[in-house]
Amino acid sequence: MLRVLIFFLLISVSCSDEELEIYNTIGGDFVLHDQFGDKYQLSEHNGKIRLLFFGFTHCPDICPTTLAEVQEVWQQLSTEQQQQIEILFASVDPERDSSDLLRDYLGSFDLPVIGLRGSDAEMLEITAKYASFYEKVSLDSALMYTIDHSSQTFVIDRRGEIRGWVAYDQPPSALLELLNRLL
Amino acid sequence: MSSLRVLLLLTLVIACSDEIVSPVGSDDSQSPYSEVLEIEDARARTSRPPHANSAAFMTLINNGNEDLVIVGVKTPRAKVAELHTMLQEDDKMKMRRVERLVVPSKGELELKPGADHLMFFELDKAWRIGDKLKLTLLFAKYPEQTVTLEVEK
Ligand SMILES: [Cu+2]
Repeated sequence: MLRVLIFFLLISVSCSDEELEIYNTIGGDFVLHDQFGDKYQLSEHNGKIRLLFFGFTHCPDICPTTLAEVQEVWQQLSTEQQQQIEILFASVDPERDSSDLLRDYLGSFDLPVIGLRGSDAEMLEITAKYASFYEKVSLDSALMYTIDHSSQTFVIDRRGEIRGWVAYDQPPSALLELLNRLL
Repeated sequence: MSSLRVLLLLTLVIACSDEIVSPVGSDDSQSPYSEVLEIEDARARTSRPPHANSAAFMTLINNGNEDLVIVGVKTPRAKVAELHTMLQEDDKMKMRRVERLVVPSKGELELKPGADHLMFFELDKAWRIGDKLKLTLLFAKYPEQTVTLEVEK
């Protein structure tokens, strides 16, 4: 009886993975550097599920909110599940976000985030591949400039393919649901 | 000793009924009450390295017959304080400074992440979780309102 149950469970789990669409017209491999200066190539980390978010450290609202929501989801996962996931925060502010700053900023969250950075040209190319966008905007404000940017969190599977994303205004449960279908 | 206790108890009772009766200079009230304007759920966000900025949020309830127009904000904890809004275009979020925020009459304005909010730059030092800070809202035709709020995650 238990075996049947487990079998059934396995089937339903793998089926639910199949149901998730593969968005292979967007996304793809990239090479950047992490907050410790080490090279990070997406394909070299295949085998892990990746969460990818474009942001910047001076981002006052969207980025900390998103990271806090990811943290909420993270805490609902078992250690074993956590070990299958990498959280990627790719900076779209190459000018200000040094690796030191990324390290300090991400270190302030109780979450193992890999901060990624590259040149402006590299980031423009990568965001374009990910159907994303960022643009430096000077504000009539004390903030020297801000960066308008796409605010969704991409969910990338173990083979490096995008299997979905969560918009900024979606609840953390939406991210958890996506993850559960890939875990 | 026991009279002090009674007094303390009395103070508590007064503080509790504060919401119904008019306020008597409550010092560190989280939700200052006035006939016209109520402020609820006021909180600030902790700053993160490089501690360049932070934000504050709250719900303002306008019981009056006229719109209340917020024209500014200030706090001793930051040199620059601004009113901001967030525009959403598809999946893009664009933060912009605005001159005023309106609390509609018989309505409310919710300042929250991803929407209208109060924004601070040139912080005196890091805004740590648990810090209490004073913040004053300036209105076009209404006395300024000072709230004490706590810094949260
Ligand atoms: Cu803002």
